[in-house]
Amino acid sequence: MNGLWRREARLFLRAPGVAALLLVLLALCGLGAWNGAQRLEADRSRVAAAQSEDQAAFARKRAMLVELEAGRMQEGQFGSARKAHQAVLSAGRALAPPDAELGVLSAAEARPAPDLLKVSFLTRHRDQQPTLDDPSNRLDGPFDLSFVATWLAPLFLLFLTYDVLARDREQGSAALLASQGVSLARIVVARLGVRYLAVFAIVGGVALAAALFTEKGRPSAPALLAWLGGLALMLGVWCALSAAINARARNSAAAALALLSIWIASALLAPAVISVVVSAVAPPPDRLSGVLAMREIESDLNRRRAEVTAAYYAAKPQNRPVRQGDEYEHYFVTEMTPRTLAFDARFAPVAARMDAARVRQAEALRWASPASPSLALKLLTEDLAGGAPERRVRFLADVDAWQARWRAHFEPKLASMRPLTLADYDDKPDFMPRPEAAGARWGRIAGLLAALSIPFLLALAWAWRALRSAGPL
Amino acid sequence: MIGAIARRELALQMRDGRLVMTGVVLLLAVLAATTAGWFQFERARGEREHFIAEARQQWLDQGERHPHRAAHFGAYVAMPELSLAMFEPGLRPFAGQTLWLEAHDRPAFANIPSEDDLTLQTGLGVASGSAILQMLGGLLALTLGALAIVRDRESGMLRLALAQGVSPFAWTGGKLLGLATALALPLAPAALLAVGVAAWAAPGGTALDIVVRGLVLLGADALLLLGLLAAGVAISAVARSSRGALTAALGLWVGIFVLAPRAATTLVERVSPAPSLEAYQKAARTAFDEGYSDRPGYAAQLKALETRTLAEHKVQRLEDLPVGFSGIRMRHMDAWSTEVDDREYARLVRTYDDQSRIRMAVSLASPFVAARSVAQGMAGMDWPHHRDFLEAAETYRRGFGLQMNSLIEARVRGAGWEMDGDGRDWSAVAPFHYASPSAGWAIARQAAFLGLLAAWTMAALVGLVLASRRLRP
Repeated sequence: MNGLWRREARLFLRAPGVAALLLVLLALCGLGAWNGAQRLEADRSRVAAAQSEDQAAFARKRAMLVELEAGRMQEGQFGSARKAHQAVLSAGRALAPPDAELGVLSAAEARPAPDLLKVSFLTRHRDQQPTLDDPSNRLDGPFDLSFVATWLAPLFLLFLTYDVLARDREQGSAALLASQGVSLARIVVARLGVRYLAVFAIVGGVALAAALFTEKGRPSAPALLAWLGGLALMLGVWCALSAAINARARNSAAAALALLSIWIASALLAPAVISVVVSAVAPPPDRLSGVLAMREIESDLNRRRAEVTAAYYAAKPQNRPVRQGDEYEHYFVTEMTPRTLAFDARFAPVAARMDAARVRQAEALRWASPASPSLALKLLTEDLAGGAPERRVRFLADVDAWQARWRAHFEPKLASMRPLTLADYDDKPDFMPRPEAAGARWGRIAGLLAALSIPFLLALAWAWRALRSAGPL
Repeated sequence: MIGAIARRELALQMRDGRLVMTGVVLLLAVLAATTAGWFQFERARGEREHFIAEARQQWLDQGERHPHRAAHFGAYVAMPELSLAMFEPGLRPFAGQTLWLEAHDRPAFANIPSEDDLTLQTGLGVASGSAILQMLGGLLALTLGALAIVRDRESGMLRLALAQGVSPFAWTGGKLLGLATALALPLAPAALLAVGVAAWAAPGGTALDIVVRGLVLLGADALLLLGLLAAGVAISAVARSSRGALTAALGLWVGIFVLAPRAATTLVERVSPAPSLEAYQKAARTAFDEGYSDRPGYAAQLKALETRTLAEHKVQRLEDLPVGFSGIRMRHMDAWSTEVDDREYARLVRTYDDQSRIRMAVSLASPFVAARSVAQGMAGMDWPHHRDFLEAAETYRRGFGLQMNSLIEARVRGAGWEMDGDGRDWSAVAPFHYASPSAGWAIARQAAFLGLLAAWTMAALVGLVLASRRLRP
């Protein structure tokens, strides 16, 4: 048995064009990993720069307050570190979710979970971040390991396996092969196994190396194992299909066309059909309605601004202004502060509904993914790379909890126009994001692995049945 | 002779059930995708019209507020679509749906559908009628072409034909013509029907424009498919076996349709990345504050403006001015920020042009990139159309900003700031109207891609002529 595999491995590697094809796959994996690493590095640098800028800005304000309290500086009309509406109201803190385990696998631009949010006392519910980028750059998606593993690796495997037996039939050597004392099924399995291992080793090896490199030698072992398991299952589907087709095909061209048709149906058409069905069953959040709701609430609160201000100070009499402010303070403190809080109270359910719609859609996609192994692997990869909507919900819940503490900390001074003290700066709440609950997270991953197992087992059963009756003619 | 060979080839293909079945499947896929596109287009149109009407009403009903705050509340606009978008949705999933026109800043597209809708990120972009026609039609053209002559060689038919005095050129030419006709039989009616429906659905007065755009779009697709068919037949003419021909053709398809578009994106992002909105606004703010060349920064300009205004009205203090200085200041501020922004935007446009040139360079290797660009341009769903809308919206934004500043200037006296505008002021701002550019404008923007596509097809035909000279039985 081992001798058969060794011989097939030797023959495979000596076959013309194989080494070049494997090198091309290696180069494409390398390019994908490099792009993913670049993207990850850029994201991390952006987050680090924003957080450092944010900390420096607060440190400058604190230093200014020290000078003001010591009488070494005169307070100007604007930019005072003592007035909360100037120092804190719109000062955005840079908040980032915990790092995803395998961020290097994906360089996707459009991720449901933001990598960085700047959140202040004011509402965080704004338009999605506008962009200047030519959208043509997002049309095809990035060239990353997710793309290589999902779309290219199966194609390479098909190129390498489509004629494992059909070619022998075509050349008339299948009968000779069948007379060697080893069954044709065993020979086909050995040939497919060698090719499968070559493709898996290249894609999986590059992914492993990229994860080791970007995570400083300490990538998450369970996440890596889960992804490699998913890759193994997805490649296994195509190997099993090759076996089943080769068991029947009379010539290699027919085998190639049959396998290509299955690839088109499964990797191109099935995701398109699934998209249409999932969009109908679990529609995405209606962003335009969200924008209209946002503006409607804003307009209504503006029209009733005197009433909103009065209601706020009636409910929190301890926050009544201690002095008559200027016209800016009148607007930013007594009008905008109560309006901001009232806005969030009314818009939060709309935002929650939109996030729930995202999660429902992701769940529907996962349920449908057994119909397309490529789609299932893509969903698994994007999840491990930090792209699941559930991660966004977790992060935004942490952001909201932090913003509530931030507001509770500064609101009394802000609304009452009392001056800030050094203690206000020193005791300000820090943002501590929590990772997603392990049960829910690994439940999703296990579900996607199960989704990949279904087509794998079906293809395996078909291959086993076909190979049992495979003959030389 | 060529005609006779073409007629024979056509008859053979018609008798071969596989081509008829593949053609019918492709035709149904194009029609199904276009029908789904029709529903999406109609739904998007309804949502957009509702959004525009509601956003306008919200502008009118915003209540009393300071005109500058009204300018920050701003107006929302959404880009209208041509009816050909049902066949080629182009950048719709990846371009923002809305523009928020507010004080000071040039608008940028926000609310990108693919950031909310996971189903738009699931596949390789074959969900539209146009994409199916190009990608799967391209695959059919390449595989049909690749098997055309090599099978004759394997069956001995080619030897017989050449022995009877048929010229290699006539044989390859006849094959090409016959296959092109066979390919056109299912695809042309489907494509013409899609364009016909789009013209029928176009609003009054634009049907002719849609027909012209549609015919150019189909012409580009025809060039693409003819070029690929010629490349396939050329491969077939030199290949020794159908296995080798098919492998080469499939490799070419993967390179042209799967690898090249992503490679173009990667090149664009590496060689000529567009700045983030944050970086763009930071550069504009720096130029605004510090000035450039012989233009001083804003603070110096403001001081000069104060001096000039006081001298003009022959008073000593801003408080004594008979007009609202805040309005004059805002007008000047907007004029200066417009000047700064035009300078930054000109740089951004140069980046867009560089990116377009990179895509043109990739089009030399991948006619799909060029054909897709032409299709998107003719459907009015490419980046030039989006930019045209963006620029029209920016002109409108500047106009209504001036209107708001005039209100402050006229109704505030001296150095005061607070005042409120009301519904009458808001209704004096005319609604935004936008007419899509003409077909001629769109063709001019895509002329380079059309030229590259034609050059690629010519090169493929020349390659076929050269291959036919080397035709051996």
